[in-house]
Amino acid sequence: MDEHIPQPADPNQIPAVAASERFDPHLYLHPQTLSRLSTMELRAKMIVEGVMAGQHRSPYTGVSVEFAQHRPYVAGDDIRHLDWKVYARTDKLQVKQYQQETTLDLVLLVDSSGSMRFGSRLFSDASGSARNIAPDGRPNWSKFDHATATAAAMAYITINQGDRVGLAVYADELRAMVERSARKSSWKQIVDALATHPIDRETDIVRVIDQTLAKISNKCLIVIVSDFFEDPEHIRSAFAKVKHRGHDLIALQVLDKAELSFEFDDPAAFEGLESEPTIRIDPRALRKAYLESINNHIDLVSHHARSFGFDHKVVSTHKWLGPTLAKFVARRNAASTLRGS
Amino acid sequence: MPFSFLHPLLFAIGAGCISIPIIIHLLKRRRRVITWGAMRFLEEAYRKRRRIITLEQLLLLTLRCLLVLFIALGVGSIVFGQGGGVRVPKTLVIVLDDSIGSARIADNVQIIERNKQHAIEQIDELDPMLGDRVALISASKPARAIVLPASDDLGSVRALIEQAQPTDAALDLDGVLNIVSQIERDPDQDTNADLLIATDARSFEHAIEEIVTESTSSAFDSLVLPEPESTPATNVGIRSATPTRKLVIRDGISLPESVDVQLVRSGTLDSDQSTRVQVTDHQGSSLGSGTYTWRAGERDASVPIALQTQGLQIAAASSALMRVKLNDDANPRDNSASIAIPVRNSLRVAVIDRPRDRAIGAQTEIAPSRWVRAALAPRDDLGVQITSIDASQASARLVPGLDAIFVLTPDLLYDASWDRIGRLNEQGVMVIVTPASEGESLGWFDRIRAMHPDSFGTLLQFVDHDPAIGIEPDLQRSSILSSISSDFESLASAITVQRSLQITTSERALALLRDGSPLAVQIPSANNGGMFIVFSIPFDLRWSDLPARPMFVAMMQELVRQGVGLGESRDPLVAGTPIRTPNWVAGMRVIDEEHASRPSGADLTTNQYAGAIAMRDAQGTTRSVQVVHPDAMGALADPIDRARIEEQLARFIDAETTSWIGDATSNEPQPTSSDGSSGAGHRLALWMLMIALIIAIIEFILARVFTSRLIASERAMGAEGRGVRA
Repeated sequence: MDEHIPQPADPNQIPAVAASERFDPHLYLHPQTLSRLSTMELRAKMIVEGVMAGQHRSPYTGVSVEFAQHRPYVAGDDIRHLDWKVYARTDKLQVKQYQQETTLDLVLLVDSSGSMRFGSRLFSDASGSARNIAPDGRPNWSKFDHATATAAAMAYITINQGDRVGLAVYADELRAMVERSARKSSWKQIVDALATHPIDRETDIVRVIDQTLAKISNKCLIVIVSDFFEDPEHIRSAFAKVKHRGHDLIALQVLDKAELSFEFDDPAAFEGLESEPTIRIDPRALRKAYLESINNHIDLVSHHARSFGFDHKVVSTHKWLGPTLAKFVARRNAASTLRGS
Repeated sequence: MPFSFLHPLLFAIGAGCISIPIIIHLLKRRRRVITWGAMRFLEEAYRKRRRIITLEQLLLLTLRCLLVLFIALGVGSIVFGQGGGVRVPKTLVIVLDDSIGSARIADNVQIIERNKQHAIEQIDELDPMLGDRVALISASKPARAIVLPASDDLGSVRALIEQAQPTDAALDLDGVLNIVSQIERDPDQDTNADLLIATDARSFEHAIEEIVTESTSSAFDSLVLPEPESTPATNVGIRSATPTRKLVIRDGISLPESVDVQLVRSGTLDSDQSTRVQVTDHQGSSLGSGTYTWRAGERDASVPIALQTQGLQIAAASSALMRVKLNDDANPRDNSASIAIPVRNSLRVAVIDRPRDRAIGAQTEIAPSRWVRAALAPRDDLGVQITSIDASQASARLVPGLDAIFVLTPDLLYDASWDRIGRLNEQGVMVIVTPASEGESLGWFDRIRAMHPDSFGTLLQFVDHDPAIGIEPDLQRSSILSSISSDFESLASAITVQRSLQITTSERALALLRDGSPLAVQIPSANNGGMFIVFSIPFDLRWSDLPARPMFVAMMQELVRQGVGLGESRDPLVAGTPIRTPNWVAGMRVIDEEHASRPSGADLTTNQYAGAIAMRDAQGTTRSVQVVHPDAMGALADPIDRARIEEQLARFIDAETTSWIGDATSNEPQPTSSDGSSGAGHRLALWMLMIALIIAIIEFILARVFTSRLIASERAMGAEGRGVRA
């Protein structure tokens, strides 16, 4: 592996960025990505309540235009929903259930902790805007860049579908938040909120979930875009809170290829991004143990997500956003149809 | 335990290299800094593996340092028990035996090659970077300091040693001691001084007998000597080769000629050994030969070889060159010797006398000159031409080209004539002076004293012997009349002397009268001058009946021939003896080389090589030939043991210890020393290198094990998609 890793710039020395550049979606969305995703429908797993009829199924069965299924009558059911025709033919009481068209409320949580600053990919290689460095002067394409691009893509698609999108940028707490909105103009607000940079803090996902859930009342699809470099128990606890409040969640775990392969040969000093102590090691000697550790963590995050019925996906910063999201959305739609039936 | 190194510089360099793996280790630690996001997992992995990794790294680092250390110890040749960790600078004084004895061949190896090898091996153990120095002394006579004071240019000294070849001169321990005694050690510097005498020591007994110096050498820390070589050897050498006659007259009667060859034998003195002696001319044609069979234990022998000198050719300076050769033995260098002998077609003799005979009473007195003519040239074919010169005209008629001058009337010579005679004598003309028959004056003797001021005493008087006395029948061996010594007694018995001039002298008497006074005084030639003989009687029957006796003919013939020959030729020199050149010598060149080992440009006056050297005057005329014989006494091959060598040298050399190097019985001697330091050092070095090899193997295996574990884990990771889940 090419061990040249573009190092993140010092956050304290980030140059001023012109407003026109900060709002340029092409810095975050490669044209290929947008061209692929714009032809797809984003179908949430769950049916959300919404005032705006759309292509999403309501989580509530009741009066609706689209019949869903029959079920046996039980005591307490509203007799208005009895299907008398079935009773006439079969002498059995069946209750009619309908699916209701709803709008999708998407809440994007983007991790901006210090570890998200890492990236081994060149900015010029990752960005579609033919730029060699990021607007703040960094030469590398960081996990945060990839996370913001992913979030922006999902927001863009969602808004184009007429659904509402909200955004929160967090580290140890919420740093910025954009209220949910389906207006086209909210895209600018989201991009504006994403045009920040990671801070030298650790993630406190439990606190962030608490703060987020306090601000939403209806059922939402929460998408966490993070490296999830946190205590797995904290992650499990955060997932449990989301599940308890009845929200759905997609965990997109953004990781750099170098973090996943750890292909370093020469001894070096490794310096943390979240104030961890520097350690001098021979990477070859530690590679096996490191990979075991990080893979265990990924497995644990994935296990916790699936245990609550949530989806988990590892997103590599070295892969295009398009194929990753398209594959994910396709899988999501398939799973959503199965549940709704 | 104290220790030192045979090659401390190499150890220092090697020890310095120990820092290389440490530096590499530290440099690797500081090579680069990587800002890393997933520190949580790296720290976890580090906590799990830290102890094992540290142990592995320390183990490999230790092994690598030990590897370098043991290589350094091996290359530096550590020696334990030598009294200190740091070696002080050493000054090595090498006395290289390049004498004739070093030309001996033992087990197909010339002794000098062993001597050189011993010296070079000692030099190779020095290190100029530590202040080591080496001095070189050539031990063949005359001993010379080749490199002194000691130099740190070991390579140049090594090259000088490699170029050394045996001379024909003997081992000059006396000269060596004189040189060594002048070496002063700096009291302010802590240095070791070793004296290596690279010799086989077989001629030590003779060399030590020659020591006259009373000074003891400077104090040395160690005297280093090669192990005495014990190979049996027998060597016969020519001590001298002397022709019976000193002159060959080709046109005259053929007198018997012979060469007396003195041989010396050393080493194994068996009884069944025989030595063949052959004499050839300078072109290799045989002139005579003989074989001598040795008796058991016999060391010296005299072998007369009869010669056929007819047709003997002149080689240079009216002299013929002959060569005496022995059959080959252990040392070929002392098996041949040159002889130079003057050759004349005839002798030209001038006789200064009164002009004619005088009548005394009824008898006519025969003038002394007529007795001389009758004795020397009774016939015209004897090869002697007599020229009579009136005393009053002597100054004008004495011309160069004469071989001998008889001065029979010294009282009648003018001063100019004496001056003329003196100059001719200096140029090699033999002069024979007798008292005047008539005169009672002794004033003429003052002229002789002036020519030879140290030869005669003040007592000088005429003595009448009544009754008449005879002549002592014994002749000294070295007398020029020695060729007639066998007949001298019978010839002398008939002679009576009535009157004589009693001469007191410090010179050798040609023969003695019965009263102990000399019949004649023989003053040897000086600086290639002619012989000068003073008789105590005139050749007059009133003084003695000698002229009328057969003795007179034999005496005059031998006197002139031998005297002229001695004046012409120069006594042979032994190699190593400086050549004293007469004033007229303007140049010298080698005309007969005994061996081809004389270096070009060698100083002829140093005279370390046998052969014949022609001397030229300012006009370019070769006037004399100097023969140089090899020094057979320096080529003695008698075995000698350690104790004897130590006993002999201890009298002259002050050394704390004596070390012995090499096993001289081997063809290729290996350096060892009696205290074992060098050999032990090399054995230890071998062990150190063996340990280093074992460490290298262990390090290689462990490094492979550690690495293969990593490779295996990497393969395992590769099988899992190198950990990438996306």
